[in-house]
Amino acid sequence: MKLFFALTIINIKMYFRNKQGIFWTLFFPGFIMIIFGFQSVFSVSENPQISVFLSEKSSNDSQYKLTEKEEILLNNISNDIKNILGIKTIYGITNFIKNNNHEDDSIIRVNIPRDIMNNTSLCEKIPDNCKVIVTYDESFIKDSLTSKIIIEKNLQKIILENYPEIGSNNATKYINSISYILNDEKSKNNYKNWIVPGIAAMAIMQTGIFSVGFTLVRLKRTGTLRRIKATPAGASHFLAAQIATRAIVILLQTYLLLILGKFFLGADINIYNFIFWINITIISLIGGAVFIGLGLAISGKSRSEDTLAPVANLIVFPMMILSGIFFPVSSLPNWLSNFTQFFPLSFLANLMRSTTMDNLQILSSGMQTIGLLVWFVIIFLIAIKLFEWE
Amino acid sequence: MKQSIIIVNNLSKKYNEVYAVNDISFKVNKGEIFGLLGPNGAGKTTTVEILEGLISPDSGEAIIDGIDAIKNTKKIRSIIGIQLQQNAFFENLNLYEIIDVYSKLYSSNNDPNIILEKVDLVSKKDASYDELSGGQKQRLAIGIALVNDPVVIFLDEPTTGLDPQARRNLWELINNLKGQGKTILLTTHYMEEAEELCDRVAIIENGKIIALNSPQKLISELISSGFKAQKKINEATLDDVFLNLTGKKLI
Repeated sequence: MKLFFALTIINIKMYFRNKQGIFWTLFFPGFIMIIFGFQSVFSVSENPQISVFLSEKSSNDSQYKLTEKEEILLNNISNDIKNILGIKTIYGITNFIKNNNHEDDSIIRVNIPRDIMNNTSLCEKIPDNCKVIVTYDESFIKDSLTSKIIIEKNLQKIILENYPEIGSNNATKYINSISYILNDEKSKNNYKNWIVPGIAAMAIMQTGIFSVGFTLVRLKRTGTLRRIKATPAGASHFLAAQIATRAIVILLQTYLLLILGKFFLGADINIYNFIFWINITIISLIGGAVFIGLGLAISGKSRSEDTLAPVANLIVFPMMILSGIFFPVSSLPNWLSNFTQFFPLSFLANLMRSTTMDNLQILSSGMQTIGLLVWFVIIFLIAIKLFEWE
Repeated sequence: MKQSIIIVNNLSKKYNEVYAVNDISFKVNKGEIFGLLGPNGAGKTTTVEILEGLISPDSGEAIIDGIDAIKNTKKIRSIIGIQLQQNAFFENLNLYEIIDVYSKLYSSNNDPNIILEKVDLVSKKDASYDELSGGQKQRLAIGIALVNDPVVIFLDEPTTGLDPQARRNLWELINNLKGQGKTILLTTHYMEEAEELCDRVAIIENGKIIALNSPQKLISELISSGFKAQKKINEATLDDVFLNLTGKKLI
């Protein structure tokens, strides 16, 4: 045990003196996280839908029933959106005061003041409470613009039907003067909250596979491992110290990335909660064990870095792209997502996310934890089978 | 009667039906430098690595300082010093730290500074392995072989690839170790090295020992058999010219 600790300290020293290693394990994932975190590159909505609501000023419950005309208007808008964009829509009536704070998963949310339908002084002055508000997810900007056109077309039609006397020119003028409040803050925050734990999970994979795999292959190729094996202590203590060092690096890396996400990107992470850090530590260690095992397994038969690199990339790239790091697995075709949801990185990213976003305890994400533990067992059996000292 | 510290009896090792070591037996006396001589692929390294406990033989026995080297490899590793043919040590550590790691792996309390002094690398204490010249790398490897105060030191082609200055310097170091009472088993394919260093040599070819005696006796046996050198030996060689021109100091 004393030897193991001494060797671990030496290994940590070696690791942190290796500037390239530090770059790839700490700076690179941080850099990627910041680049993506400031954008809203992909939508993270699991079930995209568009909601179209009429907003009612009165708080009288009896008013919360759609008239026939309103029903027709909303139904037409919904059908047009569904037909053109292929996105599910919901419609109804909502309270004007409350609707600005209304939270739902809609990628585009349209609030049409009910007065539009009844306002007799349409052409004179448009009151503030008579504005259409469109709240949208930035990654659906095209769809939101199309929705806007559909809404305008339907509104114009209904205005002309109700007030034929104002004429189509005035109706167009009126429609054009409707302000659209475009709000993308929510989606940006959503994406930050999505990408930070995702990148933390990805970095665990990278450190596990590349750092362990390449170091061991180099030690084998140069004969260093053989020389260590020729000592009375043998190489097992040294290998254990190597693994312990990587586990420590993985923890440090995860903590730093989450803190960076919180303070630099402003992601919504509850870093002041002690239990949160315990959960993160457990998840990182289980995830780290899986990917360190994968690193050991692929270094097992590799004779040089040249033969290791393609194998490592073959494993890392599909997982990086298809495990829901940068966009949700649900946005993949079903046949693919049915398969990629079982990737170890999918389990790890989901666990990280449920801890940072939903503040869930590790045990409440039972299936994901079990999934990762099953991978751990499978990979370690493979690693033991494949690992060669020389 | 000289005391044997290494006893090898009928040792054999086959790779893919080809004998790398074929039924060899020899004894190494305490305090001598014993050379295993032979061309590349003769079986020198396999023999040495069996004694070091890195390879298990197919048959035969090997005893070092009274310990069975085949069955008790862990114990053997703690009493021998090893310099392998291929040497590499940790990146991102200086020489002091590298020696310290090996002291720990050998559970030895030797001060790395003393080891560095023994192999004349004190000035390179803070350098990394990559910054060393070929000769310095070999001296470090020998230094590491000394961390556990071994009774026997195995040197596998210690001077291969070195320039004449570095080689002579290493010879000096090896002779010093002998002077300190260490037993050394070294392999080489340089005849002049064997002649310079070894008390006795075993010549190996195709996994078999074909001659075993002191270099002088092997030479006299050859002469007494009527052999005459075809060419008069020069009083100085090109090696000597190079040394004379560049000086004897280490690089």
